[in-house]
Amino acid sequence: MAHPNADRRDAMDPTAVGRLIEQHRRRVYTLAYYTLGSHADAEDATQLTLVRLWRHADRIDPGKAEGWLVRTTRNVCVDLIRQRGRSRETTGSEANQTAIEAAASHDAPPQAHAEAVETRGEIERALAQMPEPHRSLLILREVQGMTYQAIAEALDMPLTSVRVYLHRARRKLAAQLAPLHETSSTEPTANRPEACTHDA
Amino acid sequence: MTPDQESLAGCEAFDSLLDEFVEESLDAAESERVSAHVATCETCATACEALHRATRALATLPELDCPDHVIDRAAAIGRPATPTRQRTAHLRPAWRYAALLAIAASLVLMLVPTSETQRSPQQAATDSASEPESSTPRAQLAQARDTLREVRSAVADNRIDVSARAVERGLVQPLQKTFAAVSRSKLGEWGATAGALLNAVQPAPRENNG
Repeated sequence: MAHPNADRRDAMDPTAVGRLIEQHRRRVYTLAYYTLGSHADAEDATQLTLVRLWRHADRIDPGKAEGWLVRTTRNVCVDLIRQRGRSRETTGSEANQTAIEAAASHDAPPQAHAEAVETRGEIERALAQMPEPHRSLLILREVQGMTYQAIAEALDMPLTSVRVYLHRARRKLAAQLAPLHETSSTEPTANRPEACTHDA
Repeated sequence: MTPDQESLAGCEAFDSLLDEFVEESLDAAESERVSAHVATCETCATACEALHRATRALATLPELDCPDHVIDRAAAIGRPATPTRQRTAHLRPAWRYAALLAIAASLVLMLVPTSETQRSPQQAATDSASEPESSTPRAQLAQARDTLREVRSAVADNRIDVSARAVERGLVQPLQKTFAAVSRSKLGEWGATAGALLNAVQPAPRENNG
């Protein structure tokens, strides 16, 4: 029989919590930003998540802390969206603002960079159209590069469900981005061989 | 099945593999099979291209760093006021004190049924006949002992944070009242002595910084 305080023996002290935050602050903030679509909201969500981490650190298994952070961040974001009674779509304008600021401070040729940041804004807006859990799964997998298994554990979701949701989410996003590609690509078939005939 | 239906069914089978194909996580044989199909199927080629474009687009989104002031604010709000090491040091005397009180309480509670013997046999018989099993002094004593055991165990396991003030209000004062009540009986002198001893070892209330 396990010791009743087995998890407490491995509990994190404040130093370990601080280290954990340093390690995962980008993951938490990135997930919050692309889910909520604004830096102000992302800061609120990150703060709420980290406050919970501090308060419950003695009950979190350090080996599962990353999953706990991801799950809590997503839950906090979903709660914020619900509480504020608005969907992420209404905050898409910040993607434009971010793009403009990035363009103004970048060294690349102005036109090329402007196109790049505009594309980023379009991608963020397309992501904003995604319902949950598609959006979170796309961010975790495609932006942050988490493995299917890690996502399944973090979100407490069967691995098969993660695969199925991502399968649908990618197709939805592809449909959202299709107009962008049609307007920006001058040679629509040029990429096909490179993109889809790669060798194993 | 018509040739069109056959082709569609084939495409559906490949569609489920396209995600892994785009991610390049298929094994060599399967990847070759999908690649050969995509090269000859306009529908799957278009789907594959769209998938590739979507995943590549998302991969261009940068990871963002959290501003330091958010980290600092969260720590200011959520971080425990006393570090774990100091808290443990704070709990240790509290645990000792609680254990001492629990022992003293047990002693007093052992004296309570003794006073019951002062009642006449007739009165005791009448009382016990009218009282349910759970409200008999013996049952109450057992319940009180269990409660004390649980409190002691919880404090020992650090499952509850006990401050000197909480011990004072929750345990010392009720016990002192108990001692006073017991001391009124002739057989309660031991209880009164234990109460006096308890007062003698009672530490000054600790400043609560949290």
